[in-house]
Amino acid sequence: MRRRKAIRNIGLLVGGALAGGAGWRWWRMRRQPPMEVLQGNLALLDDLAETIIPATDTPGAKAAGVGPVIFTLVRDCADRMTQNNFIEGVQDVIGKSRELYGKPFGECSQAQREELLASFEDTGDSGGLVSKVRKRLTGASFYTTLKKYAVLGYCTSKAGATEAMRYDYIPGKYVGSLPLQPGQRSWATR
Amino acid sequence: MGDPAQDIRLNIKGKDQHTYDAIVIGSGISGGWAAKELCEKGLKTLVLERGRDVVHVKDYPTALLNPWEFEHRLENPEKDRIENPVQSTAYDEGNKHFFVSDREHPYIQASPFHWIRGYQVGGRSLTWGRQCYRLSDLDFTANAKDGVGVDWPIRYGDIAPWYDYVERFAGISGQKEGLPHLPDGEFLPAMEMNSLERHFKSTVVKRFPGRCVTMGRTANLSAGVGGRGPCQYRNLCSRGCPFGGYFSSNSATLPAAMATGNLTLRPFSIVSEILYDQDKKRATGVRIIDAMTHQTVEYYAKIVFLNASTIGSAAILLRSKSRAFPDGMGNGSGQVGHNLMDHHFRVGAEGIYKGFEDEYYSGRRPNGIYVPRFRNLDAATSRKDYLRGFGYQGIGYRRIWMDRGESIPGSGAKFKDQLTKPGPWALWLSAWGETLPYYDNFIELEEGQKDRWGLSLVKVHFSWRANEKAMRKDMQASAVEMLSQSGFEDIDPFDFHAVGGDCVHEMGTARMGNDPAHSVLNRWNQLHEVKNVFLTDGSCMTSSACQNPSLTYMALTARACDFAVTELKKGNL
Repeated sequence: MRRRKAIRNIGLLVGGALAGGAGWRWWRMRRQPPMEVLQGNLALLDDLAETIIPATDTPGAKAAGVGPVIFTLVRDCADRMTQNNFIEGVQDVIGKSRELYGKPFGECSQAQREELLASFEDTGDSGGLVSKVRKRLTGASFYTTLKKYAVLGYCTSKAGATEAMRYDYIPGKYVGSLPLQPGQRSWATR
Repeated sequence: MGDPAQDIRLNIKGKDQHTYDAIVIGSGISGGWAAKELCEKGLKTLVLERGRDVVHVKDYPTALLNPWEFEHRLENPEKDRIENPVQSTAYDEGNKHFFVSDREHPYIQASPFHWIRGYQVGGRSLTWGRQCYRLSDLDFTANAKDGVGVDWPIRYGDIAPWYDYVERFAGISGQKEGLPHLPDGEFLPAMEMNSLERHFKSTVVKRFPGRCVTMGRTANLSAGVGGRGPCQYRNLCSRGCPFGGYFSSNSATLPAAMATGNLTLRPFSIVSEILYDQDKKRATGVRIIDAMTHQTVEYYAKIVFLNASTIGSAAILLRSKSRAFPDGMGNGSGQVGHNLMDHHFRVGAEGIYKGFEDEYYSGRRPNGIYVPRFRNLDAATSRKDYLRGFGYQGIGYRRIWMDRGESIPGSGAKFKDQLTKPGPWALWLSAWGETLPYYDNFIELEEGQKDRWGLSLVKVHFSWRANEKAMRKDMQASAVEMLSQSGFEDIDPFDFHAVGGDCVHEMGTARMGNDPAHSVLNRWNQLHEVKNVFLTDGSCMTSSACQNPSLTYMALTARACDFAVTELKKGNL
């Protein structure tokens, strides 16, 4: 028993030493995520998703109801560090759009919004081993999570699957080789 | 929490509540077959299932849901990963109701081992992978030839007619290839390959003489069988199929058993032990704990088929202690629970193919291509670094959003256009490898720790050894080689280091053999030491081969039932 306690104390010391340098950051990542910040910004989540997947000749993310889906996925499916990164990112978007364009994100032009998101993309996860290791230690970046859930939310939505792509509820058969028509969209499911 | 009595589908012809001709423990793939065969041969049969009832079609609540009807769009919430750390690796939002709760059904991992389970009528036959391949004499003679474990007490000729028999009923689609080491079966029409798969097949056959690329052999019905199917190409099988498009106990064997009027199905029945009469040297029946009421009930029969899954069946034998069997029923050899195997997999490669850009496919085929074993078949293909071999399952496909969405840079209309277009063609090639039987890969009962029914927890000891590790290198390298020789680019070799159990092909804990001193079951899947107890699930497997094993359990079950009823009629049981 005494040995186990000693080990635990050493653990505390090491943890303490790390925290001494970056304690605030450590806490910010691991604290109970302030989900109410997201809850209060569902419209912004819609706008962020719409920036990534805008309405064209087919519905965009907003019409497909992606904002609330992103909220649900961040709340239920993301780990705590990823949640905190995401909420921090949303707050950064609010601050940056005021700073750069003098107005809320939702009132910015599509070009301005894309430019703003690109600044997050550049500092986001690049994929690859370094990024994988970093993700395990610090959670996924805001941009990575946003894009992942915007894509998932849109492509599994009724509008996205049936209008922007092709969705066959009951195919009935498999045909292995068919000519692809010009402009033909991909299947929404596999 | 319904009244369990209401869930019992009573046999209206049956009179005595507690005595039957036969008891079948478990209702998964092999238990379902035992039920069908014994009932059709006229035996009043009680099937005991530890989980709830699942009625074909009626109890498939997610089968017809669209992706947008799932709250988490088929992603698993963190809560699932924390509360169900093992099962959640195998389920999603669409089929999670067919997997147990890790909290309600704990076991102990002395070393990492994922015990994936489905406690319900139909067991894992609802969620299985459906690939069906025959074993051959290459497999049945392997242990004897290599001096590994014990020799199989049967050869291909013993089981071949039973493969025919079960394939005709189950409905297996596939292509005949005439390979001695992967015998052809009684197939429904093979599914179609797509353009890239056909290209891969033609180049592999050309560049690697002796290798074969065939359409996957699957228990998906490419044509209707006995009122079931055909497959509708939705690829949502593990939610249960409302069209009866694939073989499961629920869609096929249990309804056949029920139709005889000889079946009594009792869900919520956890078998605590098989009862033994020392004077007669026979099992007399079983004792169960009602999962809902915790009441103990005994049932009696002339024969018992134990089909509770490889680990479940071994645990029941180990729990069935008596003066004659202080270490568990039929365990004079000390082999019960030992020689646990699982296929090792999740290793291979994927490559991109530049071409066929103007071609696509339609439908969601619940099946892929198969590259049968090509190692250690003969002197020309023998390897110095490992015994036995592996087969590949593969799928050619055009990448879609779920494969590449996050890797397309930027946002806006251009991103959306890319996201919703068919992506490049890719071919995924992943190996399933044979695992050797090791005495010290085993399960035991942890007497000090009990589940909520007071039964000792199962403790699993398992690791991969040198033979699997050496084979694994080749499983990856050969995939890379075949892809690169077939003109693929950006080849991405992978090895996800699956732990034991991940493949859900547990086998070997009550192996068949000729010598009662070293094996548990004889050539008829009969306990050497208790002649009226039969095990025909994965526990009976003397070696694992590399083929997906369920078809072999089906054939061995039908064969053992035929033997058991013949012996019963002769008065030998």
